[in-house]
Amino acid sequence: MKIPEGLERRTEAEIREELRGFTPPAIEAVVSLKSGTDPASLRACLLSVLEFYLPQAARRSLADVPDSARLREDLALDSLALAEAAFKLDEVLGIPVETREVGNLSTVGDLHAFFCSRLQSDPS
Amino acid sequence: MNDVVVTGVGLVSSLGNTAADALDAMRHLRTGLVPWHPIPDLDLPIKVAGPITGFDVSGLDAASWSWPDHIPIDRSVLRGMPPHGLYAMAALTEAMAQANLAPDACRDTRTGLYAASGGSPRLTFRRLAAMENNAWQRGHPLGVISSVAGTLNFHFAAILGIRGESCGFVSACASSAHAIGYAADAIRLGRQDRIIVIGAEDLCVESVMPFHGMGALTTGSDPALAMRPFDRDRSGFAATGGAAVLILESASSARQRRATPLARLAGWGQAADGYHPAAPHPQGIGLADAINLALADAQSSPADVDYINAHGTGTPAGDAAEAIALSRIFTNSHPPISSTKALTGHGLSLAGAMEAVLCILALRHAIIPGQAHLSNPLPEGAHLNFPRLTTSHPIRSALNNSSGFGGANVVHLFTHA
Repeated sequence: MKIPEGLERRTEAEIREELRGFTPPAIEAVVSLKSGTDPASLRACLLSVLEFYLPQAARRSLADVPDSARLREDLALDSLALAEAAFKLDEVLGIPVETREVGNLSTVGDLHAFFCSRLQSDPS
Repeated sequence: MNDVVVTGVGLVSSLGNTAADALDAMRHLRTGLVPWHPIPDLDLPIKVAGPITGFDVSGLDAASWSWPDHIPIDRSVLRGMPPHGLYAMAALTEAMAQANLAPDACRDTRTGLYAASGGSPRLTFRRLAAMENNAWQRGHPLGVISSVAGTLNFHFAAILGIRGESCGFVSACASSAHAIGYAADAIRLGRQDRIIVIGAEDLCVESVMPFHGMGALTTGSDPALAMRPFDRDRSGFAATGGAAVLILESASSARQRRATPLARLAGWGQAADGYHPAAPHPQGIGLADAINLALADAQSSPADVDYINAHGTGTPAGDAAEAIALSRIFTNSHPPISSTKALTGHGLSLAGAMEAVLCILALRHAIIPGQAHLSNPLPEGAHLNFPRLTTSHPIRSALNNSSGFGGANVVHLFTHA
């Protein structure tokens, strides 16, 4: 898998600043993508960033969430929260994402596959 | 008509992060103005401002913001807020506690929310710059609701579950004063039992520096001398941010809840200058009319006023106009007058609500705030009473003046409940 362009051009300190306030696992997951990326680490990165956008009442760790988990029904993410999460991932990873593209994703597996496709990588 | 009382206030200001901090600062004339260097290694023409301490809203994203540990705020509610939304959350927490209102006590059609801020020029600028950088292909999903002037009412109506009236006010430096006045009317007319009023602003270069282009900001570098309301040698205002929250309520609603009224909003008035989009009328005609209307609304006379919290931004034109207006009305009585902006800095949209809180504190704690940083009163105010020091003295009423661009003038009269 290619290292995301946004990560390549940033220093680790810049990435940490970009993610100031996110959980330590989220920051470490993104930083780890800078070296030795694989689809599993991309998945961990996506989910740990996504955790920040869960509504208060549905806040939980997504570390063990299955690919079949539905973004809206199971994780309680509304369309605006998904768009916001995608925009953050765009800012951090440098992977352009259109709001309407995220709107078409249904499950955690879809989200992972979408980002993998942008990085020309096989999610499996 | 229903009587209107205030049952809770909250204040995050350059004087501290609670109303009690501001009271202490007024008592000792301790200023919140300090040397201001918002951009390291850059020498700005503006040297002094009133920043908020204990909060860090320097990042664009609420994820990165921090606040004093003792203020209970769930970070998830801050998403999509402007930086001053965090200040407003802190002030709201204080006001709700004082009013003895639980967080879910406003989820009914009888409770409303009025808010005032200039939006967030910083987020507007940064988000639009980011869009320009990506050839206008993608914008931040929350860019609009975090930036435009209604941002506070959008967010706080949702947070509080407001089902009654929800509205924003935009009359520049009279905005939150307008919000208080119209909230009082809605309660008096029986349309609402209770209205939460929020005024808040972010202190940042994007908000402040445009005023430098107008010549409205002081370029002084000494915090004790830079902002000098009503002084012959005044040179403009020093800016500040923060948040003020007031919970206005019908007296009967407060009685039913056994809430303690802090003060009564006895009357208010507003009148415009009809003169210029930015400058005040040189004779302060709109402000004089607004004062007279507020006194009439409260069925009071100038002799009933024991303290005046002036708009007093320290601009040459504004202070002269206000001094002339006050001199025309207070001919037989000479109530003490001070602009607490010399302590806080000028909070723009926040100012009217912040100074309403300061008036209520003066009433409740029997103090007359002195006019800080005044050496030689302006000639237009030669017959006005500007006490140099804060004194302990019971007062029956406090008049709160606010003026904004477009010649908007709003005046409140607070009395004991």
